[in-house]
Amino acid sequence: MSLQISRPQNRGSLLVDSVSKKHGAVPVLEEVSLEVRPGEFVTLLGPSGCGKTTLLRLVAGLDEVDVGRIVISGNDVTSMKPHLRPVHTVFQSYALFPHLTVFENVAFGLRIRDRPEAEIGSRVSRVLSAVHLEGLDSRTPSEISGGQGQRVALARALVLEPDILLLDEPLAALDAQLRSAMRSELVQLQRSLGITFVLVTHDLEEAIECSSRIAVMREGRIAQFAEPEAIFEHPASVYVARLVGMENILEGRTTGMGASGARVDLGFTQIEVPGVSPETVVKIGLHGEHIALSRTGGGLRGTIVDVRYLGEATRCQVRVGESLLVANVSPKEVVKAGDVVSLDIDPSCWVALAP
Amino acid sequence: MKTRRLLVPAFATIIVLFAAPQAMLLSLTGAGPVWFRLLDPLYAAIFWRSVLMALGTTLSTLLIGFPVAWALVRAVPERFRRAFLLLITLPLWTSVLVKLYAWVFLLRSGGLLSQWLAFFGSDSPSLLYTTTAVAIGQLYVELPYMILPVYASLERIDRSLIDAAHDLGASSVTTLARVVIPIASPGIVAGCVLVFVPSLGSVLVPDLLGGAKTAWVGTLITSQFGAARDPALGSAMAFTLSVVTLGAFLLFGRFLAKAQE
Amino acid sequence: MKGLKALLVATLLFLHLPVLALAVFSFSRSRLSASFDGPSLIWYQKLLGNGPLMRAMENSLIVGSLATIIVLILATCAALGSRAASTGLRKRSASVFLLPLVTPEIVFGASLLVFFSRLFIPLGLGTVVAAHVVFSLSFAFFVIRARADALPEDVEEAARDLGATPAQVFRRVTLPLLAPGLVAAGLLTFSLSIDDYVVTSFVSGAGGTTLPVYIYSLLKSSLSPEIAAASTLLLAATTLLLFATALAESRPRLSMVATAVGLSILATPVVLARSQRHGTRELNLYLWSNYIAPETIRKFEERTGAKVNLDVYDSVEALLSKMLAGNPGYDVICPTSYALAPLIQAGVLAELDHDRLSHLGNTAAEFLGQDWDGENRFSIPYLWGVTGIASDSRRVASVDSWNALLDPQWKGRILMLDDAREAIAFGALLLGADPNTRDRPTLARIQKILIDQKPLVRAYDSASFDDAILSGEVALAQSWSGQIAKIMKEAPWVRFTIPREGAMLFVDNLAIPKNAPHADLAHEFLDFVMEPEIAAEICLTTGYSTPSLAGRNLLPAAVGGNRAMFPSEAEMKQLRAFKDIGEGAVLHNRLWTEVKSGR
Repeated sequence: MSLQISRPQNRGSLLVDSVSKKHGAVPVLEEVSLEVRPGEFVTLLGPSGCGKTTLLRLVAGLDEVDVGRIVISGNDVTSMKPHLRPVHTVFQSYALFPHLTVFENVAFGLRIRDRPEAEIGSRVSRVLSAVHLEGLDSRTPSEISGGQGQRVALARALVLEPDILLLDEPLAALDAQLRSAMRSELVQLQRSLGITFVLVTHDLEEAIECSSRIAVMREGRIAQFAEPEAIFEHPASVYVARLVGMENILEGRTTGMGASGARVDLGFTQIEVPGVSPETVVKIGLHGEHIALSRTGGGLRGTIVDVRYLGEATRCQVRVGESLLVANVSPKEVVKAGDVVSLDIDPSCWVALAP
Repeated sequence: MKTRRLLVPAFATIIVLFAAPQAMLLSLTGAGPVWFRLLDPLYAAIFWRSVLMALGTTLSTLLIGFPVAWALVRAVPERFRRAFLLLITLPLWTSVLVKLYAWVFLLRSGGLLSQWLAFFGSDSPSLLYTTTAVAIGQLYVELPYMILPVYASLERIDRSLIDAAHDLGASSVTTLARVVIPIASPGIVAGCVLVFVPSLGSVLVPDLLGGAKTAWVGTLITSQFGAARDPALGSAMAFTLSVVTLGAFLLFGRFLAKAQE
Repeated sequence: MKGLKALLVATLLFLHLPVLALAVFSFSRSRLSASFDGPSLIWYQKLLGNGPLMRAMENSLIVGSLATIIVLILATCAALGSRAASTGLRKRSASVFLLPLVTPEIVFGASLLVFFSRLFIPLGLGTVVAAHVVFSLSFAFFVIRARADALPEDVEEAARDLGATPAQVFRRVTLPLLAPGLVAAGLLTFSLSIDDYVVTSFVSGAGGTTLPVYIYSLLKSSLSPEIAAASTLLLAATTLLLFATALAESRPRLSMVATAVGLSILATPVVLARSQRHGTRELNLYLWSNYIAPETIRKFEERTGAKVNLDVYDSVEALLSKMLAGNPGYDVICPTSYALAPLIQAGVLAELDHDRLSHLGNTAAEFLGQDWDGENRFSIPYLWGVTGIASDSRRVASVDSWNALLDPQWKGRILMLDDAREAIAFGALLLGADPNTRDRPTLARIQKILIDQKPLVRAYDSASFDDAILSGEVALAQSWSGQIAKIMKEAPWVRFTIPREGAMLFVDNLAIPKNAPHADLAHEFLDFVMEPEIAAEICLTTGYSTPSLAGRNLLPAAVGGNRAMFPSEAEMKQLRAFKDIGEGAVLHNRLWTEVKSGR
């Protein structure tokens, strides 16, 4: 066996290799594999109970892996104690030490490592200014706001210059405005530091805005791992489609092969979709934005049943034959219930969904 | 707020039944000569020995009680903890006197423990009336009073703080020293008070298990009110004892507060 | 993890070992000291027939419950008040409550005794409850405050918003949320109260003997297995009640059964103690512990139709300090002869009406008209005994002198009474000096003997010297005759010697205090115990010698001829008596303290 040496270009990479984990008899993670490249911002997205936090804790070493391997920066850390791993975590509750000041909270890891006082002073004040917390050094955690606490937690992990920074729902406790401000700050920070970030969240917007790639998790497995655009535009399954808010999920029957994919009969229309398995009944998805409505024009026609103004768009329910479709149109368009309209759909926008 | 007035009945009770009697006790000592008699090196030696014993008891109950409380929090699933706590408090419902008498009879020649020790090759026929017996007895009597407050404070520590410390590179020992103990310190102080104060006045254990071969502050004060028929001296001693105890804990509290900064 | 679990199990074992041992041996036929011989319920039977012990249990339960209720009310109010207070007031109130916590029990007891006697508040159950309230209030306050502070304020506001009045908010929201804290505080208060000896012994008066006080006084004359039985019952009841509260939510039916069984166990002593009382007349006795058998009391109650309350003490000093502070309601007390002088001088005792003491003539002449009470104007002799040497005849060939207790051969096998006056008397007898001496040079020589003897001494113990001999812990023990006479029945190899230098005689007398509430009945009682049959019964059950000649003639030969109980005439001539030494007590006590505190 040769000793694996951490090569600089490997620093910040993460490999989760067929990892399984049970809590008692309940499987929490089943054969999860994930590969993260150095400098990536990866988000684990899913509802509560999907195993995303458990996966994060396994990477941090706070829980032990049952089966499988975890490799960080080229080193197998599967059986390594958490305090020896080159990863640090921003906890959902921030987990700030109540008996220590802001400064001492941030200095904690450096003191553990017996760094000289001068170095501690300069590194802590540097990272505190990076997260805009100058002047709060001597406050205790009970004397600062939630947003500030969040920055302290961030600073405390970052000051140790981890290979990977793990963030467990770091923004969940903040109000909406603060949350969106912090989001862009996180992205900037990640870009400027070049550290690999792994973020856990159940907030789709947050995932899409921050990540370079998103791993959507479902019941202890990874449902889809791809760039945000791909996740949004081409969800692989009904589950992911629902998660990204795809309004139209329809059932169809395959009738054979066409030029650009399988031919599918949706009842009111026939389409061709790539990547459909030749089963008889399939699920097809379509974002509401990809349906344009016009009062004139031929092709598919339907009747507007309901109109709802949403600010950025107007959501219309349109009855087409036996089916109900949802179209999001520009708020400038004047539509009302009862209008008969024709629907214009870009054929390439239909997505085949695994069940 | 009107609710503040709810403090009044309890305050009144303390003033009437605690402060007033203390003041009367103090007035019993009169001025001057009694206090000079306190400077007697005999009493100083007895007092010092009692303090040492109380400190020893506090330290040993802490050294055992803390890990036990920690074990309760870490190794026992939450739904069983109440049962365990109940088991720890249960012996408190039997009179200390009776329990110590049970120890006398476990420790003496032919007693259960001596038989066990003999089985393991010890040649000491009896542990009764030895320092070991006193140590066992003190530990036995005071241990629950250390475990309970320490447990209460450990239980309140958010698990994520311990995770965070590990995550930031602290080993288990470092986590204990830098995170757990400082956060649990109010409970530790409470446990120390609850153990130290009664140990300082303790007479039963050294008398029953130790063979009463030394004098202790508790016996000394009691005998002033009884056999020696010298209540003035007894009051002076008692008053000094409470002042010293209080002072020690104020200092201890200060010290801990300083250490935390 | 495994280490932690092992530690937990070991700790639980350690904490439960003595309690379990006690429970096992409460089912043994033989005395606590011997090995297990059972199973048998004999001690439980005796326990139920022991009126004074049942009374003590009843008192403990009453005091514990009352103190708990009062403390819970005060502490809950204070905790809520503290929650509403400003930070500054909170801190100040916390330090007020902290003060009693750091006050040693002995200081509590002493100061409360001074307080009650200065304000002429009669000692009784009420004073005990008051004392328990004040020393457990702080504990309860801190427990409840911790809970109160953790209460979210918004739920109370929500309740008010939904139309609840302040009283409804308290009853329906605050109180249920505080409940776990109240339960914890209540349990703590009750357990502190039911186990308190030190404070209670200072402030209890007539009818105020609680279980710990009763047990402690028994220790002085060896603990009987009835106490193990009583403790086991109490433990069983509390275990049931505690688990009932723990199971209340998950297994309500089981919890109710456990509560019912637990409460009925607790109710037994109360019901029995009450059912055993007859009539409307009462008699309050204040005696040495184990100085009268429950059977004897029952006979007196049946004869007179009166109800007898027995309180017990464990030292002459306890009796003196109580009586000199003003009679707390006793009808008959039992002062040792040397305690009579200070009591008579202080005018505490009433003159006896000899016309009503028809059986006084039964008393042996040598116990009448003694110098402590010339014409028996104030007292009659009740029981007497001798301080001599008990020895293990299997190991110690012969003993005839106090010098045996100075023999290096028996190093670590010698036990001395833990009593200043007995220790000094031992030295004085060796020197041929007066045991009541106040002469400093003589006392210095006596002290030297005691200090030199100390390395040989295994223990100073006036509580269980009989068990120490019986179990073979020591071979020689300075002992009081009564306990030794008792164990001789089961251990014939125990020997009791009155050394040739002489020995101390103690006579315990019955007297009636002035302003005794039931002086007539007290005279009846005094006459009753001098009846020959009753005197013989008391002698047999206590192990101490009766001054009644007629009574002695009724004793079985083995007892009447027991030299430990009834020494020969020649030996009787050698006996000396303790006398009141007044201010000399300070000196004696100091010498003794110096002996004890030396290496």
